[in-house]
Amino acid sequence: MTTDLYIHESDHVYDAIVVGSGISGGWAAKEFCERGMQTLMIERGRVVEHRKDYVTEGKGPWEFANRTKVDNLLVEEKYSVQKKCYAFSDMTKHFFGNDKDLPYSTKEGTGFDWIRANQLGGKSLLWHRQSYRLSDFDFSANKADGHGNDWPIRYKDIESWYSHVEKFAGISGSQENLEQLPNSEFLPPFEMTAPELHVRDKIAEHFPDRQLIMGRTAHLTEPTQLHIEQGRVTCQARNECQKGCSFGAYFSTQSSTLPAAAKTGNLSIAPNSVVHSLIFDEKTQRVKGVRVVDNDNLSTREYFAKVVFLCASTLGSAQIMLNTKTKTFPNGIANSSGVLGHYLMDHNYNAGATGTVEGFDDVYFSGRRPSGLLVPNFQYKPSLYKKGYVRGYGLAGGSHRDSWPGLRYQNGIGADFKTKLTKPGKWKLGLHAQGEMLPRFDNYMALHPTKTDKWGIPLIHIDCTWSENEKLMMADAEQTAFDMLTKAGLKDIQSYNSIEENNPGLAIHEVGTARMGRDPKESVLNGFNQCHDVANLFVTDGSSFCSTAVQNPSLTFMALTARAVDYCVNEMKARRI
Amino acid sequence: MPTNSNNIELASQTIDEENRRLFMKKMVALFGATTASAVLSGCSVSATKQLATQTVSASKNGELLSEQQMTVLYSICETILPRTDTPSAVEVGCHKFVPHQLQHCHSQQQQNDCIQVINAIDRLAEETFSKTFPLLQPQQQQQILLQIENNQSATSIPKEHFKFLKALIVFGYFTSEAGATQALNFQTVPGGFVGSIPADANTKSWGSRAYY
Repeated sequence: MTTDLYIHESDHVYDAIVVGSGISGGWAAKEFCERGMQTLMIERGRVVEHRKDYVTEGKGPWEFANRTKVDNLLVEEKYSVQKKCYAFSDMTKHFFGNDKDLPYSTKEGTGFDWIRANQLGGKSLLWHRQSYRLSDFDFSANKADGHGNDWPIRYKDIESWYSHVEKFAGISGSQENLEQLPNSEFLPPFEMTAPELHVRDKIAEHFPDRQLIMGRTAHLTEPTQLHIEQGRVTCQARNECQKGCSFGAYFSTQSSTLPAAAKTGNLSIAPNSVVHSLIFDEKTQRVKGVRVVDNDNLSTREYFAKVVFLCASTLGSAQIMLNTKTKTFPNGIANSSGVLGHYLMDHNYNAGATGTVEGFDDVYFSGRRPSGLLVPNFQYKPSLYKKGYVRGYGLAGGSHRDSWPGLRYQNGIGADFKTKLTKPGKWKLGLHAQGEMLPRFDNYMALHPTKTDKWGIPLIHIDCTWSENEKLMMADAEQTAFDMLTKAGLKDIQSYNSIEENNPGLAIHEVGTARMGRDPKESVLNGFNQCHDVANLFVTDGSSFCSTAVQNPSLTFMALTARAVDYCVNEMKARRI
Repeated sequence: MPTNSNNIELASQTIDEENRRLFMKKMVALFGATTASAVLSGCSVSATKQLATQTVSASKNGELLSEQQMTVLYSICETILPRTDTPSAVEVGCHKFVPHQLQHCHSQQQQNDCIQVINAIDRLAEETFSKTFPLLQPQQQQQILLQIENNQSATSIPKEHFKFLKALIVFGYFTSEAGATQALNFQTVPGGFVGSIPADANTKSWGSRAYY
């Protein structure tokens, strides 16, 4: 990247403004730039440069004063929410948002854990990289059982776009030919361990409706020419991805879409630019650009473009829209339906089981696999629903051999104890539910009536809770995971259900605040992520989802975004936008 | 480890004076000569009172543990993870890491629990052998810690609190450079993932972890 990539003040009218630089924003910028469109990517946070700014990469735990844990005072002061993320540590904290500067409120008696990553690259630097297509069962689920509105698209509409983004991003996985989880364009899958292969066979034997497969992940197990041209090489199996990866082995904005966009010469980036609201022209009923507050010195400026793509995250994009109050749209731009901010969802990761696999003491693994196992959803259509609740869940899993973090709680003092801690212990294998959360109008985010943040933007106020359906699902998932491990022959199985302890948000799969739909009266976006009410405004991040399905959503963000840009550019050429 | 159990036997045969000198050497390294002599001279109730005063001054300086508590922790670390063919917990600095980590990353309650455990261990040493814990022979030190771990002592210290302290020492050990790279097998850049490799009784655990 060159320094003239970054701009500060500009009265230039770009072809496209992309708000946000995470997975969706990166894709939007790349697709626009490659179609010859002058594109301005706006990022509220600082610049993070590939390799140069991965400041903790390659460091051992002893190089951190608190051995990778974060100091209490710092956690209390700045990271009271972010600390709940599994990937938050002293090695990664600089890529997490600062809860002190980025406050939000929740309805009394409820909670929502909002994980932020406000820097160039956003959460693409921190994501878990699991990548799955949605199927027609997912796109038609709302219609089939009457919860939420019908997705305006079906699998055939997005299939080629999945292929398009997968080939470029690089997704490793195995061809399974499952109707509920379509194959992707795969690089070779990661290997399973010996106990995983054993449990896979046992599950196939006892549960013909279920498969234990290798997780599908955005890692280069075998880079293609397309990846090498991006400057990326084979995954080294460090599994320290959230520190940043100089090998570019996992997909991120920095490793993949940003260099591709920059290479075209059509990309500009405005960092440290917090979008306050959109500039709306009442006469043309179009957006003209965005109002920005400087992240550092709080000065204001404006940027202009022919079209605006909001890729600022599910809560972030909806906040910008709600904060754009105009004569036509007193309750937020493109909100004639009144559903903007509503139908907020997350995944429900609150039940599972772990047990011991016996008989594999003579094998170990080598390397740190940056992926796990998956039992795809086996309750993916109404005829397969369990009694008492609708929809289903997948089971994510993995195996390891016990080592000192677990063994240290055993009895023992002295040399023998020390020696025992240095040897691999029993094989453990777990399955953990990834449950679908139903779309409900009552789960919503709005702007706080009085409080604002330091940029003068009204705080997000969230009221989002688990419904009875989610609770019944987790109770069943706990029992099911336990039963599956039992049938697979595992011992000492421990199961859990943590739904009463955990708020929504922690799966970091928040979606649904500006949902798509065919009917402008009940949805914000059409089937191309274009606002029903404002033709040159698109929202292509998780906001647009009509349901969560059970799959990790990022791959669908990519495909929807690339598809929306293609549509938008064609519309611009046809002078309809 | 045959070598090590020989060491313990040898150590248990050594006389008190030798033990004292070895301990003195460690204490001088830790705190300087004056404090070391003060601690060494203090095996009686009056000396404990004197140390109690030091506790106050220690906390005034913002330090979690008094010098006496530090010497006890030093010996606890050495007893739980002694030198074998790899460095001991003390050699990698666990006795300094524990109070640091407690102060920076743990709750007040956990800090207090650990202080109570350290005090209880020393009290049990006094009651059982009429000596402060650091001056006991290694086998006696092991015996005291095992009594607490197995709830066989008269102390009211919950075994979970001792286990927490022990776990923190182990954490400090295996996240130290020597602990992670010598006691365990460290792969900075594994180069790829292999699902199955042969393992036997001599196979070491991976010391390189993605998350700690």
